[in-house]
Amino acid sequence: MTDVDPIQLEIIRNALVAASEQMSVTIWRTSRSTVIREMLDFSTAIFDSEGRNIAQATRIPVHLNSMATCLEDILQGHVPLSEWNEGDVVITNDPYCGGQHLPDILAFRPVHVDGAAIAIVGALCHHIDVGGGAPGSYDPMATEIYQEGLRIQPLKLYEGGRRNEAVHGLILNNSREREKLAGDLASQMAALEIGAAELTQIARRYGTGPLRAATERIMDQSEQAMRAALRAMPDGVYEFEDFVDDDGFSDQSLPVRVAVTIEGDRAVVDFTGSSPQARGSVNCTLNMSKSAVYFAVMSAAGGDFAANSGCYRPIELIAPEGSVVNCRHPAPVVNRMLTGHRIVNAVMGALAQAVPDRIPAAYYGVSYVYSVGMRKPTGAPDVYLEIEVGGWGAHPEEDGANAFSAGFHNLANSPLEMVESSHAVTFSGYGLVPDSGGAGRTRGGLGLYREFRLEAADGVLATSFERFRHPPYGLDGGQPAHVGRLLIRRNGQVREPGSKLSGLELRRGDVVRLETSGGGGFGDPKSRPRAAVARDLADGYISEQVARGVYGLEIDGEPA
Amino acid sequence: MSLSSDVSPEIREFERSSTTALNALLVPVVARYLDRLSARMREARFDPHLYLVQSNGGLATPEVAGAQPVRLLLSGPSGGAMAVTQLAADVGEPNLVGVDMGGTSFDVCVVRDGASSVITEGDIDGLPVRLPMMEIRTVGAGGGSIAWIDPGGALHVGPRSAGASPGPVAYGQGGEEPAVTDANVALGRIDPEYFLGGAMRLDHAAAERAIAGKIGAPLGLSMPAAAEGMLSVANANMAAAIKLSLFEKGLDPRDFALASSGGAGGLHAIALAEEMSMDRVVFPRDPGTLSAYGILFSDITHDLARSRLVPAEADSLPVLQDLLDGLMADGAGLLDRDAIAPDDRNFAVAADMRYRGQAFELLVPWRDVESGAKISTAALDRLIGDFHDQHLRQFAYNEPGGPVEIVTLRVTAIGRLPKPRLRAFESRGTSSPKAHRRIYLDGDWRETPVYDRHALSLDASVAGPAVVEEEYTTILVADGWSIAPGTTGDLIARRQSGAGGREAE
Repeated sequence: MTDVDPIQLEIIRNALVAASEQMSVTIWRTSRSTVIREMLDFSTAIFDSEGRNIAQATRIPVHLNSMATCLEDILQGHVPLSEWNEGDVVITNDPYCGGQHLPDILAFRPVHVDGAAIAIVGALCHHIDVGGGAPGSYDPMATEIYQEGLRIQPLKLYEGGRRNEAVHGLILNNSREREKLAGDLASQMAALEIGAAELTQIARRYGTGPLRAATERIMDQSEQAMRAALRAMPDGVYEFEDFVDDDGFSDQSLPVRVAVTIEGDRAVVDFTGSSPQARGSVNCTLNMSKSAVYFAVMSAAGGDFAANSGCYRPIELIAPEGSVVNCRHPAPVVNRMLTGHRIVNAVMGALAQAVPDRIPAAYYGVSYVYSVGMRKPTGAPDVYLEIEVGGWGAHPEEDGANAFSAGFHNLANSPLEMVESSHAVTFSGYGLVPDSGGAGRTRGGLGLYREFRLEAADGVLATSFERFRHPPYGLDGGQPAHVGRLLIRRNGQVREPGSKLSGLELRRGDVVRLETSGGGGFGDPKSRPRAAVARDLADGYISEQVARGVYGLEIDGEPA
Repeated sequence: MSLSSDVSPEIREFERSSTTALNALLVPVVARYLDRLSARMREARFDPHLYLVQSNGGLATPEVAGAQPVRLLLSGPSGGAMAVTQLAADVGEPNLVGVDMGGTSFDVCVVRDGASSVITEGDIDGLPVRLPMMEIRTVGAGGGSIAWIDPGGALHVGPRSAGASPGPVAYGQGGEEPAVTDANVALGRIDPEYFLGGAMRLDHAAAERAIAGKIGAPLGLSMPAAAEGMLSVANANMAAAIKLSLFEKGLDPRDFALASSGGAGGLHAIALAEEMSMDRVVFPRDPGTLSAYGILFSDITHDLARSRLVPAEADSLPVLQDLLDGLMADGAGLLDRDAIAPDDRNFAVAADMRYRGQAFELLVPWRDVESGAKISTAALDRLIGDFHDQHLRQFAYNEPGGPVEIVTLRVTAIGRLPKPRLRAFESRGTSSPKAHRRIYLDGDWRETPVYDRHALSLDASVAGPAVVEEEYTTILVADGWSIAPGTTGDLIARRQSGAGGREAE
């Protein structure tokens, strides 16, 4: 194999990242639905011809870590590389073929130079609606994947640059949001085109031999860096357990139990003892669990190194088949993120015992997804879909950030005024929830609330919330955060309908209020500097009751 | 007191609140400064017209600036962008990418068809500022960018910077990590005795040691190979950042020339141009006062905006007409207060537009819509057509016939001010080198001629490899390039025909 000098290597590595960033910019600027455009729920990456991730844009780790495994599944089980021709685009959203849940459509396109496929470019977008039992394809009452929407096995949407109109039409016909889905698919394809053009240029400039050598070295270097980080952690077996509240059908909590073994330069992450797969849609396929584990271990490893498939090599996963972290077909999976977050929480909790000075207390740990299905005055269906976040866990040295998106899903805030200008809702509140951050020497970040009134004649509310019963944990004597809650007000009557709703009827004038969980605290609250407690009180982050009772602050000379 | 309806009357609550809060924070500071300034000018019996530069590159009277100081936040870089715009006209390069590379930062601005681009939102310390401003992209790279090896053995340059203090190792102020400037010193590209015109001595040996020890040894490279590698990586990163900023607008670097200012720029500009397949690089005259020069060519501007989400169709014409009339009247009132004569007024209209369902807008100039005029259906159709075209250019696809919305209508009221004449340039030099220096280039030490910028002649271009020095910067002219002053006194480097560059295509 041709070799590559260390300078050229770094230049090629950056060129690959730059190409994936250009793909990312393309989707960001051209997509149509708010999920993608304002919440940035998409990712782009570049793979070698074996489907291994070699470069990625700084987007959503939960996607990025799973794209390579999905592509490897496609290449090995469905469309072997020999069948990928120039201008082909293979798409899938199948969780049982490396995907995560049906709204995420992955699209891959090979890059041919001189007749040979030298790389594959990929883009994943969370699409607004792919059918199924509820608007936004989030049906928490689904018990089989068939109820969750259209399942697309890996197939060629484009062959030799020509779109398969029959398949395209079939996909659009299964969506409540035909126009937006078509627009988002188009921007996904534009990103692949940009990526393929850039890769071709890189290959021509540096030669396919050096490019191939560089991609191997890039992965090896990240593997070495990952191994070095693991070696720096003390050997041992670290256990932790966290819980998913329920699966929407019973009150039964679902344990996510993990034992992380650090042994020299490798880590074994064993989920034996975790809950069996659930009836409801909180299940993770194996690829989803891998993605969550990779994210957690890479975050705990810290360090500055390029994220790619090389990082995954020293990490081994043991996940019993038929469990909530490795479900069997046809288990429903749309809310896989609920368990996904809990996997991250549990693995981090375990690693906190290995490197206690580096790991923060639990973050809010939920994608607070809700959707309201309505009709426009014209009678056309209209879906308002939102994903909310909560408080970040306190770090050993610093307070947790308030209402701050976790790196795992990395979502952006969607402006109330933009929502109001597009959907028949009016917001009556949006702010931080006092006392929602776990008390500690450093305080957990606060959760947020969002409160809106329905202006349409009627609507249907679907939610997939979590952390309503099991709060984000504190560490080292820090207290857990507040749990989240959902309130519905009608004619002055307030009720709490629970965390996972499918098809709750709303009427004009109903007020929906979501409060999200905060982050856990770190260390003994009594040892928090008094000035910091007083400032929290003055800022309205904590109540007087908590300032006195939990932190032991003396106010006006009065002891607690 | 700052009202968001005055400061930033646009949709998106967080951006608007942030802009207004920043304004409120700045009012006392700027007002105090302006009071002091005018008091001292009175004392000194100095009575010129006083204007302040805004982030949009235009000028404002002290009254406007005192009430809305948030509009001044990025005035420094915007002067630079104005200067590059003026430079584009001076040297006849309507498509010009300006890069300003200093010790810690690297600013990029784009002039296209003779005009620099304006964006409707920027940020300061992570806080959004929703106001029109010159589009300037800041990249975390400069002479201070540090080279390092990660635990997996990969070389990186930046994003960490040695900054001005301790600065690169060669500054001798305690810096221990080799920076880009150290590589330039170690390879003889910067004369350690003539840095900042000799005002600061550099430690050549320390730079060499740091590079050999921290980069060369782990990678198994000689000191000069490691240093040249650092520069290649830094140049590739900077070129990628410039390309990305052009890409976001659907532009191709090959359609542009490069303009380089900033102390660290001269050594990198031609390499950057090669990376991007550009053929010409302009080094402005008097680079140290370039921003101030640009400001001399700006006009009073008032940016006015109103958000109203309406479909872009004939039914919306009455609403749009109302908005436009209101904005025009406000603009005229402001120019009245500035005492601008009717003949010196200009009004530019633009709309923020998107396809229904999109959440970011394109700023589309509304051509040929004038003050007091009725907006015709034809004018609206023209605007929509321009939107489709611009969308296609910028995003590689569009949807002619798709539903389009107008989110915000904008008017820029301009009061033209008198302009200075271009300074005459007299070429007095003979283009003979003042010295020769050993410089490491493309893998070899080479005896290279060194020229004083002021001794270059209009009539005798200098072929690379060569070094051109002045107090403020050092220019490295690569093999295959030549350099000579233009009639304006700005230096222009050209890729020699047939040189072809490094691109394998």
